[in-house]
Amino acid sequence: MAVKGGWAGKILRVNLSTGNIERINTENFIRYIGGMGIGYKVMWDEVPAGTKAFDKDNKIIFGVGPLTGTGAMCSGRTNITSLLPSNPYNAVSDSHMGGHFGVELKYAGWDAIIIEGKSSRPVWLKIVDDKVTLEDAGIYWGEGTFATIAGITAMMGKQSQVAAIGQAGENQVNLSVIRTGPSHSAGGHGGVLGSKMLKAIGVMGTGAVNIAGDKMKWHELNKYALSLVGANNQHVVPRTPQPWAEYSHPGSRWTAKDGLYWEKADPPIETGTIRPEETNRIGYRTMKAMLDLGKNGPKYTVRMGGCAACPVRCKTHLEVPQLEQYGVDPHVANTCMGFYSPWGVLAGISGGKASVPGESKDDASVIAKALGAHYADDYGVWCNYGQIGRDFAWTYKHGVLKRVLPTAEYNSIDWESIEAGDPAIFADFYRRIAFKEGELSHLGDGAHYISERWNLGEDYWTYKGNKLWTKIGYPVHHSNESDAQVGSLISSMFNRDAQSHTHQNFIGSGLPTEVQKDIAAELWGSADAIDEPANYKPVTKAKMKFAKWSIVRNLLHDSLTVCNWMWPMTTSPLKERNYRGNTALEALYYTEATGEEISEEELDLQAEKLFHLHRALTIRQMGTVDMRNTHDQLTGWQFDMDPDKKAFEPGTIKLDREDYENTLTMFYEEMGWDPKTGAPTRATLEKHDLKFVADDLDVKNLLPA
Amino acid sequence: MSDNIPALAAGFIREQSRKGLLSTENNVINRFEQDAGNGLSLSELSENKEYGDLQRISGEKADYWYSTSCMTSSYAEIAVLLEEKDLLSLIVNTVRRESSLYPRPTAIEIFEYSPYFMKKEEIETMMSIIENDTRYSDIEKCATSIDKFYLFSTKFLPKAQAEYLSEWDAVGQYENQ
Ligand code: SF4
Repeated sequence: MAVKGGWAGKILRVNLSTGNIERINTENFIRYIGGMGIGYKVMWDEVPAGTKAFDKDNKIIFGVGPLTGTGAMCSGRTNITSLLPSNPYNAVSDSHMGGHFGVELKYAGWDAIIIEGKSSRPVWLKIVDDKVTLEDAGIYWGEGTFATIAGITAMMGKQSQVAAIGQAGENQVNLSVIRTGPSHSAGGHGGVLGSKMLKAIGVMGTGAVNIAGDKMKWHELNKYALSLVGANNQHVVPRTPQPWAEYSHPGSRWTAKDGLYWEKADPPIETGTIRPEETNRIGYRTMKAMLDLGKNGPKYTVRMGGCAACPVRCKTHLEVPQLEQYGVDPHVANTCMGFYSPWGVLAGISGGKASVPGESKDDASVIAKALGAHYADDYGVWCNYGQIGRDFAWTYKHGVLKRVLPTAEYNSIDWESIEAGDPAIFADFYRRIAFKEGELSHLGDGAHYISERWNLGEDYWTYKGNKLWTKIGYPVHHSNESDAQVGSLISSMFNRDAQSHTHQNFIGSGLPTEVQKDIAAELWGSADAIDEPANYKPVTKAKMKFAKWSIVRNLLHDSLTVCNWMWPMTTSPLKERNYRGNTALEALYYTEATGEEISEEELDLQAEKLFHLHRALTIRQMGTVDMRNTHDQLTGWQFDMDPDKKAFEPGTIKLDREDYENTLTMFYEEMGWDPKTGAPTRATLEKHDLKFVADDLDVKNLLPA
Repeated sequence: MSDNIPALAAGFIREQSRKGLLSTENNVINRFEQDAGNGLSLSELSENKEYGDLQRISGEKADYWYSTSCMTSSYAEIAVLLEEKDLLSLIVNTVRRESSLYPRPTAIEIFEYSPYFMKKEEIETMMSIIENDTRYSDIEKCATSIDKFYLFSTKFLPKAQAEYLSEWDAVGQYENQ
């Protein structure tokens, strides 16, 4: 199929062993949508089962899609696919980052970069439109991400976008990131770049992305999308009661209100009250600092920043002058776990406090979060969605660190300061992890590996406070607290924490449960798809339809690429639409961008195919068809928590063992997978044009009976 | 009555509504009728299609007007109690509404902020009335691990559910983004 619009039309393949640079036509990948889909197809075709994440034969694919760089709302994300080192089987997984890298890649004329082989010396990849070269990275090797990104940007020019690893990635720490821009990082695959000695990728493009459809229609579509969008996470009601709003919710990220300021802006900027129709002021709706940094967040906020084509802007840009006392830049930008994970490293042991002489409790917590974010980002350490902090606290409190660390090493750690909540400890903590210094640094291996190495036993896995979801070694990420079986199922399906926000955005929209139930009935056939929070009922078919739809849309978004922290537009802030959004919007954008008329259902089917491929990749890598028992089982606390309560009583998110097995069975059936093992059947694979996958699995005896 | 008075009166009500404020009939009449003789009736005005967004809401002390195109009925109910400084009803009604509608418990501290802006002492006084008056026996208080307190109505929200949701609001949501 000829590429008319949306896609750039070609994919870059770079072999680091040979230095060979090749251009591939994107056409062969169009039925895999883009981004994540291209990644899975390459991994299936080119990376043999049993390959380890840091092996030369592993590949890493930076992919964008037909909407990236088109200006479609929130279309600035880059998907990265590779084997994941922190996964015990090194199964395939994705990390993704926002910023402007993906857009620049499209402007340079590329839909993806396939990196393969291993360089014999540190290099960085320079892409200026069609001109692609491997450059010596000797001067950057050993540097943090900030210096590397700044250095390459200075060399290539301000318009360039750079993605880089820090020392953690270089040293092949399992938990490491790839970073771009001031506030964007993709967690999990930094070490893969390190293993290939690829320090960074710099890209600059002078082209544009062609829109195949009618330009006026495209313009109208953008206006329409802006009318449906809410605040971050598609929260569609304000956080406080406001005259224009029928509903409000204290958990909403629609924080805008009179008297709320970006106080460090010069002069300070008041967000004011922002009504839904004020589409030119959407960027003021969410002040993430209030949520991530606590009461005093606004005091240090310069502005909100974000990814290309995002009107919402969820990254807080801070100026914290006190950071200069620690010898670091007072400007820090991040969001969500970027601030919360370092906080967990400190607060898990200090008892939830930070303390800085002369500073209030609330200021100290901002200083701690900003300083921790600086070090984690610069060294390029990944938190495994907050797990590293919980692991640090648990192993300290249970005497594990005392047992496994050599005495001299144990005594070299300033436990007194950590217990006191002194943020100065971050420099030491993250350096040890990033440079693999001593036994403590194994915290950077990930949960599965420290459990084995330090013999942590069942107590570690089953302790509710550790939040470990499966034995694969990742934690909850909108799991049983998010519509019980729906969030639980979604959390069990991937090879790392589920990065699906589809279900969570809907549940967290701020609308009353009854309104959500009406919408659920329209979309998934029954109001039973959603329960009142913490008043859950046994699994239903509608819940599994909701779960499947959530996953499928997540894969769709990471392939198109649009931000799954905003998309889909399941709801809207508009009372006149009865708070309905428009779930066909992705298909409308796709149609206009590519010139290929496609319906919502057809596009969902394409994305569903990618999820079958993900499952097949996992089966092939794990070497077993029995996904139910080897992949999808929980650690146990989910069933045993709240001993004084039964599952399905109000006030608990406790699951029931039998109900969970039913959940799996019903979901497998919904997917067309074998209800016993949870493996895709040949019929299902063939239905989704994956006969070649079925044939390969058949040869390996990995198709269900 | 001068020709443009109805339009001006409606415009005034809409503007006030946009700011979250209600208007009494007297308030509007005094503003626009001084030199225009008599005859401005908001009830009559609201019958006119052009001003169909004007809506009356009754309080304990007066009737008020607002524009439904600038203020929702749920906010108008809050605005009446704010106007009449009925702090007790503000707390009780908000808690019952949130427990039954969303459903969710209500953090006591929200009454310190927009749009309520109650003083800490005022909230404490109201709390002691709620705790000691049997008319509010359905309103209960629960605590979280960080000593943030919430109210809920047992008529609509089971205690255990209120406790879980309070802890989630105070702590859980920030650790699970
Ligand atoms: S919501 Fe945040 S992550 Fe998503 S596109 Fe916008 S700035 Fe990027």
